[in-house]
Amino acid sequence: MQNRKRNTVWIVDDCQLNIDILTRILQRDYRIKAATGGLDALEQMKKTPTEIAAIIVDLHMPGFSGFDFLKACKERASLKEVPVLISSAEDQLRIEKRCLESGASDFIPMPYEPSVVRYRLRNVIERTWFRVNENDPLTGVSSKEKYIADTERYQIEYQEKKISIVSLDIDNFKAYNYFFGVEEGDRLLQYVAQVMVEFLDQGDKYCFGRYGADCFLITCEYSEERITQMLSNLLERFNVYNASYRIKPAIGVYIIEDPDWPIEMMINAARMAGNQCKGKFHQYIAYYDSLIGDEVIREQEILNEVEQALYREEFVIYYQPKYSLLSGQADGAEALVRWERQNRIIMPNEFIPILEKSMQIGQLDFYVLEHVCMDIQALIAQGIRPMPVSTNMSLVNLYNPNYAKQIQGILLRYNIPPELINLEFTESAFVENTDLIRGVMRQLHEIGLRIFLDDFGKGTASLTMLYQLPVDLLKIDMMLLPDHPEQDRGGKILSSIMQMANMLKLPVVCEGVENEQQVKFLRKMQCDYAQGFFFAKPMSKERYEAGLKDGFPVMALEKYDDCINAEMQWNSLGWVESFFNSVDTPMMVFAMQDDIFHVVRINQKMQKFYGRDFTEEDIENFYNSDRLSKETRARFEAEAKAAIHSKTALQIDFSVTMPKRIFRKEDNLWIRMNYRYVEYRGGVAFYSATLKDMTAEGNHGSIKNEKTYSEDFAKTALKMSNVNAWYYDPHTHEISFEVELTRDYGWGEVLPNVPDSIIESEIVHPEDEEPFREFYRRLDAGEPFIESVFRIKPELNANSYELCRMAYTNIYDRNNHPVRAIGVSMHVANEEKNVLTAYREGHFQRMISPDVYFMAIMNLTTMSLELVQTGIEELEGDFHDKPHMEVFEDALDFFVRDLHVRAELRSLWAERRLEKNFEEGKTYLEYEFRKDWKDTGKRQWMVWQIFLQKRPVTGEILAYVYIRDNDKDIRERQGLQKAARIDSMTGLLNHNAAVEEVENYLLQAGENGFCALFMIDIDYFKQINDEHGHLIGDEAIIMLAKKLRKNFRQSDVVGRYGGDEFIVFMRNAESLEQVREKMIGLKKALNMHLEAEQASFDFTCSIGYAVRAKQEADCHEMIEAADAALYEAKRNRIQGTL
Amino acid sequence: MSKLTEELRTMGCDMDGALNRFLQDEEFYAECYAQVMSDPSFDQLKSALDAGDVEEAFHCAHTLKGVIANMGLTPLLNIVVDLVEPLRAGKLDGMQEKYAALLAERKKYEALL
Repeated sequence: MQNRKRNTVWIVDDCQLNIDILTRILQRDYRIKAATGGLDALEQMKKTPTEIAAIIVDLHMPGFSGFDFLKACKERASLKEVPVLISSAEDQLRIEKRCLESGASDFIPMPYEPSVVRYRLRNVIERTWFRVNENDPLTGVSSKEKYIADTERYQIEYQEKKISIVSLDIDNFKAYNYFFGVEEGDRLLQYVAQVMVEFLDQGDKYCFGRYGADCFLITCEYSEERITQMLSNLLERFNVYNASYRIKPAIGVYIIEDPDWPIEMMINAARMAGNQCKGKFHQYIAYYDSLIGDEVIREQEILNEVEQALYREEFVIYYQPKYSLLSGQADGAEALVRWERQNRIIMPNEFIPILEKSMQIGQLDFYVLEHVCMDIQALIAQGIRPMPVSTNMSLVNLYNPNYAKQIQGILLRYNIPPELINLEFTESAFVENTDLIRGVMRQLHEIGLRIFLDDFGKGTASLTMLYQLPVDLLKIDMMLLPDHPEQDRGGKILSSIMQMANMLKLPVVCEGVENEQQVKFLRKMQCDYAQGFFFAKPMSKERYEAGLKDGFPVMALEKYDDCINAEMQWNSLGWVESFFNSVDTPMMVFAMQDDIFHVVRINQKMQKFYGRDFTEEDIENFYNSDRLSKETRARFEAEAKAAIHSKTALQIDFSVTMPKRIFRKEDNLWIRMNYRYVEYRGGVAFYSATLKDMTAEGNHGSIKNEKTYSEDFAKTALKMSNVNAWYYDPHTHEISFEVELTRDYGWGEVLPNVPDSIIESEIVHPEDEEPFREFYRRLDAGEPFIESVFRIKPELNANSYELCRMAYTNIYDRNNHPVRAIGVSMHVANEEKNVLTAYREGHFQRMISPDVYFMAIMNLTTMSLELVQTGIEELEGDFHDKPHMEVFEDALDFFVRDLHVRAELRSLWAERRLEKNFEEGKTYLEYEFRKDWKDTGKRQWMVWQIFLQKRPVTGEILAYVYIRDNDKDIRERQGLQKAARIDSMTGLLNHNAAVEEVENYLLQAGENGFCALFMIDIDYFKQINDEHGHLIGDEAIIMLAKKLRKNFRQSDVVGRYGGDEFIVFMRNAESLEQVREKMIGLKKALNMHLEAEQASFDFTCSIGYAVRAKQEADCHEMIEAADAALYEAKRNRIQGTL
Repeated sequence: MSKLTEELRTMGCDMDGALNRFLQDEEFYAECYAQVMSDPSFDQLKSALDAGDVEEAFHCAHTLKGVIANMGLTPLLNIVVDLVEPLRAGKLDGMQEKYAALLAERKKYEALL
């Protein structure tokens, strides 16, 4: 059987005569094509490699011999399988061996013997093309080659039937691989193969094979019913296979019309059809029709013309400015390309996708870049200040080994500073081969170019990619967003992307912004930049130039801001919350918007300080208008607003009624609030504040400004997350460093003579030296907050500079002179940002909370440790190699002896109860225990705290573990507890405390103690109240209380039982006589006179008592007995009775 | 049989083999014959020999060998083979003489055109 499609034989010979002769011999059986040079032949063969049945090549050709040709064929995937026969006038024996060793299929001797030539050629062709029967190693079904060979045979065998070629793909198989891993992806393919074979075996003869990746091909007699059955079978089986993920097949059908089409073309037709249903939720099957074919032809036409168009410069650059959403000003532009062809403008979406497929896009990219550079050069020459322009770059460039060099070449040619050019890559470009891409990006960064990620969120591999690639900015298309972004899923996606970008400190540009709603939404999301018709349309070079010269219109964006959810804003600061919780001061964050104040958060310390059940609502009540005086509120609002501009620390004292549930008194409290303005984001001003109860200090209103460093650090921490931090002393010009910087630059702990010493060390880019000095001059002058970006070497001996954002916050003494400044810095573009963030976070944690002995961040989802920070030598070391349970056990062993706490903590980890807690909404757990320090012998209260938090975007659950000093807290709490036992009016024990004391004593004393219990009240107390008022009644109670305290021993229990009733308990009374004597004496002592402004009167008290001797009477029985005696005494008139 | 092929046969050429190769197409054979007589390899061989370039000389001789063999011009082929083998071994000695003999022989064949 002759191979129908592979029927071309190529003859490559430098001698035309030989070609002619061979052609004569072979043209009856084959289509003959010929070339007189090997390279020329290879070039031409590229066009139709699938038609070639065999190649006959002359051994001796000048420059490029038959062997060279043979080798080249074997290196080309499309020609590898094609048999090559070598023809030569050489003696066959002499060279045959070498030919065969080189991979030649046979040898054709000269002079040609037609029958020999024909025989050998046919033999080789049949051997090659009908030999193919390998199976696909993964799925066991036919390989691509075998499928093609089978189909060719099938076509001949079933010539009279209507044959269909069907392609079957998994829609978005890449995503499947991404979600479940490549191994699982492979398993799915095996499953598909198995399901298909089972299905096809039930019907008539068919061919089936795997074409590559996730594409399978079926050749069978066409029947619509059969194809529908195939689909429903697949859907059913997919559902059985993985019900949690919708595996969607995409089926393309080509019904063979022209049997002379090459089989590859038929396959392409089926696949093109199949592509039509990709990405469409409900379309599974598509048929090839000539429209699709027309599309292909049109694409080919465009491709043919691009070369010419590039040459004729038909591609024209348009510029679209992008706007800062903060300032409303134009800040950079994107270069867009239009094809002006014969007075018609072709938009990029018509030709870019086609060029992308053909790889010609790279040429266009460079064309645009070069024209942008030319335009910028012209601007500079005219004295117009240019803005940075971003140009689009396609993925193919990344595979060009000279890419970075070529770009640098263009920049140099037009003398363009690299910071004026940004490169925009499409996200889909980064799916594979991250190492290669990272390498190219590094080169681009070294040149000084910034890299934007275009169309972020549209592809699949975006999240991991962001961590892996050194990208400087994200561009997101607004397309997802309808008119009401907040209610929509698209809006949620956008906002979560922005939160993530925020976390990574990546600026975001939103493209396609067209209306107010979108601007509102973006402002709210703190998106950095926007681009779209709402701001500016793409404009010609001339209009862009005019805009730069005259200034682009400034947009007033504040008017689009409406009520913003401060909570959401705060949450976008991500893990900063855990910071805040570790600050060693009761603290809260509140926000002001439209003159209304909300509490955003209070920290753990605050909750502890004011009691267990203290809530944010309670705090909110602090300056709720009902509670605060009008004046205080007005002052507070005015000052808080002013603070946004002055950026100074403020304080306010105010009186407030504390809610009852707090342990202490129910009186008015004087609260001192120290607060600072932190940041202004999306229309909300944030403040951090510390609260202090000043009631005890008395002197309300004029207390000196007192501020802790930890508060300042917290403030700084809130402002920046992945940072280096240090102190700067404006008087000595010294910097005291943290460990990190010392290691990076090899400096000691203190660096004198700043900034000169830094500049001398040559880590600052020469051009930035002067701004750097200016920066410190501003600092020394006392500016409250300064911030700037410099090019700084990451290490002392580094060859390149990195963009480094540096900020200082000044701290003032009470005369408002700067005393110290907190400096922070971070690398703006740093691919290890992720790691560093974690590292510095821990760093900060320790700095701002000196009471933390151990802190760890455990990722409960991946069961790994992300960070361990501890000052305890025994626990230090490289945690990276350790499983998180081991570090947990080490910490447990070192700190906790208490068996109960140990068991609790262990079960939290071992039984994964932490996750359960988190799911139930519990994000904070704590366990108190005592630690005995072996070296000092000190016993110390400590607390093991766990903050649970979900990492935005990835959804991993993190446990922040702190083991910290709790001694002070416990003591304070014990103090509070003591306070809680005291009756606030009389200073005696209150009812519960008194009863508790008595009970405790009775319990301890057992049956042995002889003791007495007195109940005392004021006679006619109700009358006193009625006649003289409650205040006087209270006075009488206080007088009685004082008398009682004076008349009993310190060890006796004296308490206010309620109202005017008191309880006294004598421990260790000696005898009944002694008690009786005591009672008589007391009775006398309690005849009292009260002298007040409007009242002067005498009053007496009644006393009842009960004694217990070796009896089993409990407290309540004694009280009942004494009460009964008291009642008896009263009934027997006024006189106290026993 | 055409006049050309008859003549060649009398000069000792393998006309049976050659015509078999040319599928008995005498006209096509005649076309090729004319081409062979003016094949540039003859001149290139001369230049290579003059320049002492053994490799190039071998290549040219080898090309001629193939072409002439295909044409079945046995007497001419014998001279070419005499050139090819020493050149393959890298020898230039006496090659000019043999080339002269080749050209002299070619003259006879050219006369037939």
